[in-house]
Amino acid sequence: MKSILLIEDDVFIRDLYIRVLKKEAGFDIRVAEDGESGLKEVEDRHPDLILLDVMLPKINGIDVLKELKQNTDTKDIPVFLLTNLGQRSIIDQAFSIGADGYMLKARLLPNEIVEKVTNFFANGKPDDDMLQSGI
Amino acid sequence: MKIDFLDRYRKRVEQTLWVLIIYLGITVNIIHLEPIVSNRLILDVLLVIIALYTFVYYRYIAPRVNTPVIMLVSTTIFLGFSLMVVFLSGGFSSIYYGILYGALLIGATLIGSQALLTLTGMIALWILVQYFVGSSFGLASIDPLWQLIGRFTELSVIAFILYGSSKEINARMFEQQLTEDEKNKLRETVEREKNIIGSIEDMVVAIDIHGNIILTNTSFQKFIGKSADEMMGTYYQDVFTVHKCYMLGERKDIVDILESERNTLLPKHTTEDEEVEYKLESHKDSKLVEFTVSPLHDADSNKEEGIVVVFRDVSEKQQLELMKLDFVSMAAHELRTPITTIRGYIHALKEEMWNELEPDKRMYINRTEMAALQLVTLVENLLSVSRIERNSFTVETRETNWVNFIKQKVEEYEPRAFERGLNMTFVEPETDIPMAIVDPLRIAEVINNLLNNAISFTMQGNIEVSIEHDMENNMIVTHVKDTGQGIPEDAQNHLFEKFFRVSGTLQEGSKGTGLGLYISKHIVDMHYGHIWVQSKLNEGSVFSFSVPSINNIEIIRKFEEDRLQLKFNHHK
Repeated sequence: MKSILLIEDDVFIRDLYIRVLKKEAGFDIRVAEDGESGLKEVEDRHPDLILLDVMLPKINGIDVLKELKQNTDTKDIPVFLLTNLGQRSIIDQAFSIGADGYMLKARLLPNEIVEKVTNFFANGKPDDDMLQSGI
Repeated sequence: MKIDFLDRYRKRVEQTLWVLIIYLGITVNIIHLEPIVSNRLILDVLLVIIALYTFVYYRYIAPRVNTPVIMLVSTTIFLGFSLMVVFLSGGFSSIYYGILYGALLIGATLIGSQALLTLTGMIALWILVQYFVGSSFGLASIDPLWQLIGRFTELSVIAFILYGSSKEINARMFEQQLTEDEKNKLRETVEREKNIIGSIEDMVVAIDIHGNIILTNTSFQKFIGKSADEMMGTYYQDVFTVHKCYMLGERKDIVDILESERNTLLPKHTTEDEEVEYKLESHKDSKLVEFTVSPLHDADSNKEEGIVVVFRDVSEKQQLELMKLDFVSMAAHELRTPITTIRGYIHALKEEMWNELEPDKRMYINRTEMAALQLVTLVENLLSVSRIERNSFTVETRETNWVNFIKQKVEEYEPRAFERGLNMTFVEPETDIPMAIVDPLRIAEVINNLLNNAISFTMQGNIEVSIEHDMENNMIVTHVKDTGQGIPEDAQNHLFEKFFRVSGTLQEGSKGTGLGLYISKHIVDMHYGHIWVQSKLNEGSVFSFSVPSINNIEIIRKFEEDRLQLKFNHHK
């Protein structure tokens, strides 16, 4: 069973995704409300995939991504940005730091997100539309 | 090697002492020995030889022979030799000479001066030579004036040679022999200091007054991508530059900061001036930085030796600043969050309760879903329009297989068309279509918009998508033809304006925002293409747009220029 770490500060959205990812798809889901506790969770146990929001309190998602990708321990854990920020410059920056994919929350239904995650685990790589940057 | 005042004083005294003693020694000796050796020339030559020997000894032999044992041996030899000469020549016939010689010997021993002791020996040697030479020659005395001149010559020669070798002598006299212990401590201190500088996260570089790099820390080496040894001694501009970038309007003054700062060599701190940015650039990377310049002083002479520059990476800060400044992006993000929640929970409700719901309740949910989806599109459109208005809409072009691209889009929309009872097809082009130069993401918005519109405005029938190669203009034209309701002529002129909507019956839930065509037109314009419509009421419409092919060198050049312009404006 694949384990996923979801780092998301909005409680409604967080619950929504947990519900779908855990109940429907049966993944082992852990959550963190902000970057700091997110990094701690990664340290405690490496997940198979990290779903990372960008607009987080205290440390923003880009800094979390930097931390993860600069650390030899964690740089190989795949990270998908799961955010409502579509700014191209930020998405490009994230990819250059080493993000493995990008999904705009508002555009996708939870089950579509599950589908993309499942595809990723099955194919070993993210769907093509996850590699494009935003507006 | 620190020389304090007393030591310096001692050095001067010693040098003066030599000269005085030699002079007096010579004088007294001449007076004494004149009857024996009258030929001043021989004496002069001998003196020069002896002085030269001293010079050679200190300059070349002594530095190479550094052990205390050798030093002791040579001192003993000279001392012994001097005493031997004294005895051989039957002691001192002149009391003055004896006193002087004695004083020299004692003084040299007290000061511990190897040099003086050697010199004493030299003089003894000289006396001995004179004794032998004099007794065998028995030359007549020469003119007193010549004697005077000769004496001055000797003095000058000795003084000159001694002064020249005094540095070596000085070094040898004040040399500090470090014990093994002290050497280790020194090594430790150097290592520790290197580690401290190495662990500073800020990038540190020190440059001498000629502009050559004399020190770098690990952070700096990482940024440049070179090792410390590679950079040591190189002219700093060959390795990196620091530019001031003004963001005031269109001004792009770029000033090489370090060049100007280096000339003033004043401590300088960059301030958080919102209008100015500093960019540190190497061959492979660039960063936005704040930096401090401090002068380097030589520890002893307090002369200015160069500068130390400490750079701090502030590109992150800049990025977050950008996020704050861009109100529309922030607003879009804030809008999207509740939209995400609405869509998500409505969908969840639908999933869990669909079977229990009556048809009209199902309709409530469907309509809510559609409205939420409309909000998503609306936010995106507003973002696009805002960027267009601010002229910050960017286009990143690359070679794209146009036929495949359009084919894929048609495949994507085909199900949607089918749902509404429409037939959507892609017409294979008859001729070869070259690659296109487009921004795939942006141009996708255009084709999405046209296909969506075609579906929305067609109640029944077909939607045909075809591609044409306009060889003459090196453009690729795409047509979306529908059998929909058509567009009245007066409306056709306003079609691509903001918020313009055509009235009439539309497919359910396809009200649209009135922004799609406005944005599409802008995107096509940014590709230096055209978008137009041919339509007749009740007969359907054909929307067409053109994009440049890879053969369109003129437009490719324009894209290149736009890209460069963008680079300049990037730090705005």
